[in-house]
Parts: sequence; structure tokens; C-alpha cells
Amino acid sequence: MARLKTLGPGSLAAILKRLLDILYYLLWAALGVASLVTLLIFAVGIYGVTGIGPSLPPELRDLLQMSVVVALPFAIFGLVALTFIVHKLRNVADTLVQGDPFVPENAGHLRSIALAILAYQLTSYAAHGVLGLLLTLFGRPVESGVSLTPEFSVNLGAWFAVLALFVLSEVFREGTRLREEQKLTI
Amino acid sequence: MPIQVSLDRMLLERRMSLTELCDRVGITMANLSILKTGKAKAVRFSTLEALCRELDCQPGDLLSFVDDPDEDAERS
Repeated sequence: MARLKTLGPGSLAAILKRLLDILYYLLWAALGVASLVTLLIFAVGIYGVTGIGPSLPPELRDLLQMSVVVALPFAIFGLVALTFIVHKLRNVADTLVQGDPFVPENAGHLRSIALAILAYQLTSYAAHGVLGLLLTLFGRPVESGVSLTPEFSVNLGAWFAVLALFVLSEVFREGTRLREEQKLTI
Repeated sequence: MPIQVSLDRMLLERRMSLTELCDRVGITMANLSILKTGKAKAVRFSTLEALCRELDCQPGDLLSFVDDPDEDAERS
């Protein structure tokens, strides 16, 4: 059986790149749907207050007032962060397909991924904090049928990933510098 | 780079072409051009040895240090 190559066209990296491409476009589709739903919720809100705007079927209106409403802004931010991370991973995979991953840009890509995870984590804490504050101030919104409880949990895996990616990006930067020096050693 | 390579002068004095030196030393034309144009970051002792042997000279005849105030300022 022929062994699958690691780098270059038709390699494992090319398959990985293709999978990341599919995931990237799926994420864009999900982001589009989530944005559309947010717009509809906004429209329903305006219609509810002013009576002006598009009138939606009652089933759809009920659906839009359910638990999904609360989580949607955060889900959109999560999708944006994930799309950005997948985009950067595609860039890294692209250099693998070209057969030369030790380029200075990849150190920057890894650092960007680390920063995106960091931003996502910090926003998650901020969102939980705001939610907790709102629940303390206004009480639980039982009428919407959502059981909201302020929770705080630290995702250690994500924090370790951030640290590991920062270290890896520095290793990449130094590796690239050494390779450049090696290339110019006669 | 404050280290200057005077390969051009050495070749001229010996009436030797760059291609001939490449063949005699066993270095590619691309690498010797990098050395000649001062873009090289480092020179292996084995390369220096081969160059000195073929050009019949000392390492000091090939390399010289010329202080560049602009580069010093950039570095600090």
C-alpha cells in the first residue's frame, strides 16, 4: 500500500485543507442564518413595541421568543471567533500543502488563533457576569420559559490551548529565523 | 553587514571567472552569488577552506570588517 505523503499536493495536509474549507463555508452559512434570525428577532421586537414592521406568522414569532433569543448574540460572537480560527488554520494548512510550513506568517497565524481563543474566553466571562448582574437586578424571567442561572466556570483546556499556542508561535518564529539563517549560510 | 567579502577583487586579480570558482570549490552559483553580494549570514569553515585553497589566499584576504554607523544606530 502506498504511504500517504505528509506535505504537498495529494497529501494528508491537502485532505486537512479540504476539510477545513468545508468547515469554513459551513460556518459562514451558520453565521448567515444566525444573523438572519437576529434580524427577525429585532423586527419582531420593533413590531411588538410600535406595531410597525413586518408581521410574522404566530408560530415563528413564538419560536423567536424562546430560549434561543438569549443565547443568540453570544452564539454569533462564538461563530465569528470560530470562523476566524478556521480561516487562520486554512492559511497554515495552505502552507503545508505548498510543502513549506516554516514561513514567518505562520507564527502570526498561531498567535492570532491564541488571541481569538483568549478573546472568546474573556467575552464568555463578561457575558456570564452581565447575565448574573441582570438576573440579580431584575429577577429570573420565568415568563419566557427559560431557566437562567448565573454560572461561572473556568475552561482550563481553553486556557492551556492559549498558552500552548503562544509558545508554539514563538517556537515557529525562532524556527523560521534559524531556517532563514541556515539558508544564507554558505 | 559590516563584514565585507572581497571575492570580486580576488577573482579579478587571478583572472578567474565565478563559474570556474564554482566548479573548483563545489558550491552552486546561487550560493556563491549570495556570498559575493554580501547577503550571506554565515560562512562555514569548510567553504572558507575551499575558497582559500582555490584562490591561494588567507581568510583575511577574503573578509574584512568595515564599521557602518547607520547599521549600529539601527541595531541600538
